[in-house]
Amino acid sequence: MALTLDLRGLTGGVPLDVQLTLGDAPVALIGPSGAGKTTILLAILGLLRPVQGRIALGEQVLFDAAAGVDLPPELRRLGYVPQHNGLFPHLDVRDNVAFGLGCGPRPLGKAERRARAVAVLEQLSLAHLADRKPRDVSGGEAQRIALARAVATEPLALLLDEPLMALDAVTRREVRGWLQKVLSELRIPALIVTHELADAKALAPSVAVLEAGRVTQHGTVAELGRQPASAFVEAWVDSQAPRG
Amino acid sequence: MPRLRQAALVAAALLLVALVGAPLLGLALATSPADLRDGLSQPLVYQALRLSLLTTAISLAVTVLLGTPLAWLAATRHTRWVRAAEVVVQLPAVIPPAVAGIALLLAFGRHGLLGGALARAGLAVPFSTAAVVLAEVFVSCTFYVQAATAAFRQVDRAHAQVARTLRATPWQAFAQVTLPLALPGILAGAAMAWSRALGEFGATLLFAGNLPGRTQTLPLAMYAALESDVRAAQALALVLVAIACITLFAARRFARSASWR
Repeated sequence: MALTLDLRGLTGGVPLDVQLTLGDAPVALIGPSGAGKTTILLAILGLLRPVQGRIALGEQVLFDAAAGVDLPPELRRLGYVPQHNGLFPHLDVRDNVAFGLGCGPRPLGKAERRARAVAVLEQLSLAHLADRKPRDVSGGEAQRIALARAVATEPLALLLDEPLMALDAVTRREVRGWLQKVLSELRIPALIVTHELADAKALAPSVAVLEAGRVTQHGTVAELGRQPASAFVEAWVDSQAPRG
Repeated sequence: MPRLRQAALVAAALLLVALVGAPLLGLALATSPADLRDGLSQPLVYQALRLSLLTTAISLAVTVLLGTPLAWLAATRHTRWVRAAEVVVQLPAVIPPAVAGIALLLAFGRHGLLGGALARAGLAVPFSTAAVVLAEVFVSCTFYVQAATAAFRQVDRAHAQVARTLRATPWQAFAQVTLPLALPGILAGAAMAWSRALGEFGATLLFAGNLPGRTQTLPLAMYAALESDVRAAQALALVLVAIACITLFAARRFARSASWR
């Protein structure tokens, strides 16, 4: 399954001009602050409406301005982890993960969705946190739970907004390794917004560079390093390359 | 001299606390348990209490039912019309209650803005129990709308957005995520609005009159009792203070009950 994006026009204050196709391998999305990275995610999710363009997930058209198609977010079957994890503070971890299972066209009953949520948590080695409230888990745990919640509804593609932000270096490396493993098992299109070269390298074989709403380059980190398409790319690869 | 400044601060604060606390303490001390019992056994008291509970229950229901949508709009839409509506609903908090009473009378009276049409339909609002409810809604809705608006504004929009991506419809996202997160603030607002409605006096007196059993609520009964039986008035005053204390306590508890914070 592929996620094809063609987003154009002023969207959420950003003049978008993005053509991008994601296959089953994750793509890292980098770019300076304000370039429109989060805007793109929100547009794909149906939370922001682009002026023009088309979004398709395999055969299913999620958005097509010309044809007047605009599926609401709840029908798009996309998994999303926002910045700062977005866990619901009033629900415990189990009910956070169970939330999506109680919605949708075939909602599960309370007992069933809780059991399913625990099964998902077990699969991701998070079951010991099931009874805790989000405020009682660590930053790294919260990020993992947010991903567990997103994948519990079996989405057809994943959108992660800075999934490793605000983690200390050690936790970051840990969660990165865990995320890498989960993503490789899921094998669905995934777009991962990040700032860090190390994260991009570890999580996605290719990197798309977004500058002022436009994709200025798309390639592997090595390709970006060899032939940077802009000063930003050059500085980005440079600033985070190992010294010496 | 920091010592002296500190003392001045404390003295000023204590003076205000005394200013508010002393009359309430005086009321409590001046009323013996026997006075309270005698006062409360007056038939007028029971009738007024019943009417007050009935009308404030209805007015609170109306306020919540109509105020919640307005609070939601005020918190999420930033158009000129929504802001104008917000200001209109804020007015009762700064308008003297007696002025509210006259305004209500002029609007719903026989020759009023709406009263004429209502009268032709056989509905006479002034000096009825309905007028009591209207006056209570008028003076108390501000407290609810303001608190509920603030509570909705405080909820991070990202939560509702994530809920939508988890297959929740807009209504499910509201009912299962936004509303529970805003609920402590909403309940605190409801408690304050109810308490304000219960104490409503000026507008009710002018617009609904002081008819035992029909429009005579607790504060009006207290006012009437002052002329005949001061002990009954004292007893009623004490009851109102006690209810107010409980409500304030409940409102503070609600506001803090957001266990996830």
